[in-house]
Amino acid sequence: MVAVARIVWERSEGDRRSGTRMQVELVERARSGDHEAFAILAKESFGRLYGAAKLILRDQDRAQDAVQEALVLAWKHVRAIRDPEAWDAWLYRLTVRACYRLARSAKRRDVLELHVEVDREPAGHDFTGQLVERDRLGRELGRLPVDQRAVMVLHFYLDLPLTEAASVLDIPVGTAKSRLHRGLETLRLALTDERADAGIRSGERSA
Amino acid sequence: MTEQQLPLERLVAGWMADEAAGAPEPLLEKILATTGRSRPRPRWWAMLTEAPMRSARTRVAVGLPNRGFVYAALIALLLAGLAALAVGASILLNRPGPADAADWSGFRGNADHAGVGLEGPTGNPVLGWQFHATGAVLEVAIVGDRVFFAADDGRLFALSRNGGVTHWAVAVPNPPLGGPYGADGRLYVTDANGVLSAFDQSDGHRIWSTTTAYTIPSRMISAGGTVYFGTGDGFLVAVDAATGIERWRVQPPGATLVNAPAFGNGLVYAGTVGAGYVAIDPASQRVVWRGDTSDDVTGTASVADGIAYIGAGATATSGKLRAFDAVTGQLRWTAEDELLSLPTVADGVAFSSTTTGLVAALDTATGTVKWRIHFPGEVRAAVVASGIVYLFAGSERRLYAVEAATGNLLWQFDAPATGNCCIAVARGAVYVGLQDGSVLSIVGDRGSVSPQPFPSLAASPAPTTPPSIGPSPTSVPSLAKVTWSTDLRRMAFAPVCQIAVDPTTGRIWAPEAGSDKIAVFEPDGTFVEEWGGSGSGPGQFDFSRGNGDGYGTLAFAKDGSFFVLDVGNRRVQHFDAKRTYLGEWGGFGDRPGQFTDPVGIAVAADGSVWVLDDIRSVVEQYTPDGNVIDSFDPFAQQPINKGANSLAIDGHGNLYVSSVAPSKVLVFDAKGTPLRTVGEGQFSEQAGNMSIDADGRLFVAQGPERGSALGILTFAPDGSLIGGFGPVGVEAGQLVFPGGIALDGKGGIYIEDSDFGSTRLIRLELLPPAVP
Repeated sequence: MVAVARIVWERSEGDRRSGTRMQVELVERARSGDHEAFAILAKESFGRLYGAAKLILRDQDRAQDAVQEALVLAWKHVRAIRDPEAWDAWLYRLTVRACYRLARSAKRRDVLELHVEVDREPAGHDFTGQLVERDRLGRELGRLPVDQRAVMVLHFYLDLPLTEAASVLDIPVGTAKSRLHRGLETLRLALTDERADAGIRSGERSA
Repeated sequence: MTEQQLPLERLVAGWMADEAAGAPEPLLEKILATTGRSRPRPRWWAMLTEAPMRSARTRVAVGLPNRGFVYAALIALLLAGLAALAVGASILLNRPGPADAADWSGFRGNADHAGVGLEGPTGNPVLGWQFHATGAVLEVAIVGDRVFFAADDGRLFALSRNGGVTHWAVAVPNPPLGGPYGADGRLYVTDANGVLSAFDQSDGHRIWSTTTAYTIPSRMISAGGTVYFGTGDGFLVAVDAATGIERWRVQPPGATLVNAPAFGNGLVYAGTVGAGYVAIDPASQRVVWRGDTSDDVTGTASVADGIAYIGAGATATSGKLRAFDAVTGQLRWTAEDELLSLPTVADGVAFSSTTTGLVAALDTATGTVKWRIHFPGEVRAAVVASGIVYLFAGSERRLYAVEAATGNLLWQFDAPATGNCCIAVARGAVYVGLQDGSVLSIVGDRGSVSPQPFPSLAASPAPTTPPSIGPSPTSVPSLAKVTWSTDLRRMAFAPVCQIAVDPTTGRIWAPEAGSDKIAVFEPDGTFVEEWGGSGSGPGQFDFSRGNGDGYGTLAFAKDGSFFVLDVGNRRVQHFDAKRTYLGEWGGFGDRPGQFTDPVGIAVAADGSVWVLDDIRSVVEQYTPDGNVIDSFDPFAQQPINKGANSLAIDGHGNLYVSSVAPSKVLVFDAKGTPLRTVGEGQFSEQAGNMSIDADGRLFVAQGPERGSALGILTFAPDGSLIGGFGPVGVEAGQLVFPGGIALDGKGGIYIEDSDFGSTRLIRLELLPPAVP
């Protein structure tokens, strides 16, 4: 590995600013009751919201319910927005909140999933991107607690810095970091054969 | 290491990108058709119903900043009537279990957390018995003739109350444990995964465990056949005490965390983050009232004599003790002093302490101060019994008894080690759990005791304030520029680990607390390999402190042999330059050669090894094979010991210890003689890891909450600040959380920026000015 320059944003600052300006105008129009503006905003966000919900809930039907709930609520409560630039973050919050609610309603099933034994691969096998490993990754992600999955989705899928992810989830940044770390640690342990018996380490404890 | 693994994070991101694809367009059409048939709700309605959301730009980006108050104003009259009915019903339906009043169920006594013991020692203190557990001990529960507690290695103990003899001990998976709370013939315990379990008090067998792993459960209480606790994601949870089945959970509006609750008057009281102080009726599972806590970091709730109290949490740096009417939620008073924690209440007086050493007695009717006394360091929550207030100064290792009426000192008793929690007073004794694994039973000799005025420390003005860590030196000259930077985000680094340079190869060794491996890099930043792994065998490590924080450090000798401070296994492992295991020493304990919370290691030019143990408060010198040579307490001459972060050594054998608060560096010669104090008032965050160059310049890292200050401060050999580098940021030359720091001996310095979002290993070329 050689020294690398860190890429912070994929879009240029200019693109971001013009995109933000347009979005601000649309949010202001939607706030005044312009459904056409809301529709543009919804179309722009729909794919991301659905993807995030699907990843958090690991279920297409419930993901559809979550996105529908979030967008309908966003329209109903659009006048609660004080800062139009917070539109994306608010949509993410509504979606995650809907996901949490739906996950809780299906809690009995999730609890059963927690107790499923990890499939062990033969010793010496690594997780180098093969299809079988990706399947395993999907299964292991599905076994993580929903709050850890939510942080991972916001950070890795929606590319939110952890400070923003914490704001969306309304939790301290330290908690977000801890959940992310614990989630990754759980995955790492589950996917690495020589460590499969090591157990899950604790990262958080109440004061 | 023969295989290069695809970094897990990249795998996760890639998998998510693929998996998330395929949004169903008909759904969007359906949503737009649905929304198109309705209008947005009126603004006032939307503001009231939508939970507030903060953003970086605006304090509140969505919703009302004080929605709870508006709610309260709108429904106050309705609630007043309903509350009276509900409380009446609740008292009938939710009487606490028939716990013996002489017992001490767990943290802060019984379910009301009032901290009142029925009977303490009579006369002068005498050690009744001392038990040595296999790990550090926090709270102790006393039920009947048994003493119950958990050690941080996961073992749950039951001892006889009179002799301290083991009745039973069981190993509980996934330590550290929370609790125990003893009631209903059971012991309630949480594990590190957030699972609540009940054990039989008579033989320790597990009766049930919850099927849900809760997010950071608080300490629990039991009342009326229900176990209550708060969670780190904002819920108050009620679990059936007999079966472990969850009965209900409530999220107070806006709450993102709920602290340990208290039970009284048929209501459950809890401090929260985001929803103030709440009273919840377990019969209806509704919030009966909500008290404003001004966003203070609050701790455990308590309730006594119709007043519900909420004080500052253990980690708070500001905040007030408040008293509310337990039934209506009306604020009765706010204490004058800062940082008072949950009080002990008896006979109309509330006794409360701070992490800065203040103990105050307040009139429960008005909040006015009856007396104050000051301790040199942190004082844990008080207990009162029969007109005597018992106070444990954990870092001072001393138990005090003072007269409740006057604050006069009755007696003091020195403990053999530091304590990090609380005391229990029941059935004629005080019980204390200590960091070295000791549990003490302190009884009385039934002799006469004469109260004396409490020794006067430097009269601390009221209100007291937490220790300041000083202004930020924003204008010191920059002393370095970046040579290269290696992205470590895909690896398992976590704050805070120290790095070291192999003197024979120049390679950089960096512990990864997230994987218990050590990563090795070439001097140009090229990743070479990872070595080690989790476990307790030779060449295996546990880079986690007892509190769960990631922490790893190692030090090289001149010949390339090296010593790894294996903090979780509480040992030092010694390897030669070819990584052959040569031996180890340590083990959990408070005696010379043992470790309780080791945090720093350094190798002197003569080959001896120094280790800093934070809890033992000792810097200890060893031969390379682990024989103790010497030791000293770095805080022996300090007015306060809030802990130490790191240890470093210079070419003359002088030792440097970074102090948590006040943030500064203490410098000693090899005999432990204090030489100077560096940087007091010049750090903006905790002083962290350190390195000293051949010219005697001291480089000290400080943490991410430092505002505009620099991440590395540089001091001349005389201790004067001469510069620094690394403002907060992720760009070249910026640092977020400089954890590891090491010099390469060629004019360069390596920094491991440990922040999760920007973990990097960086080399910077040091610039003039040279030493003045």
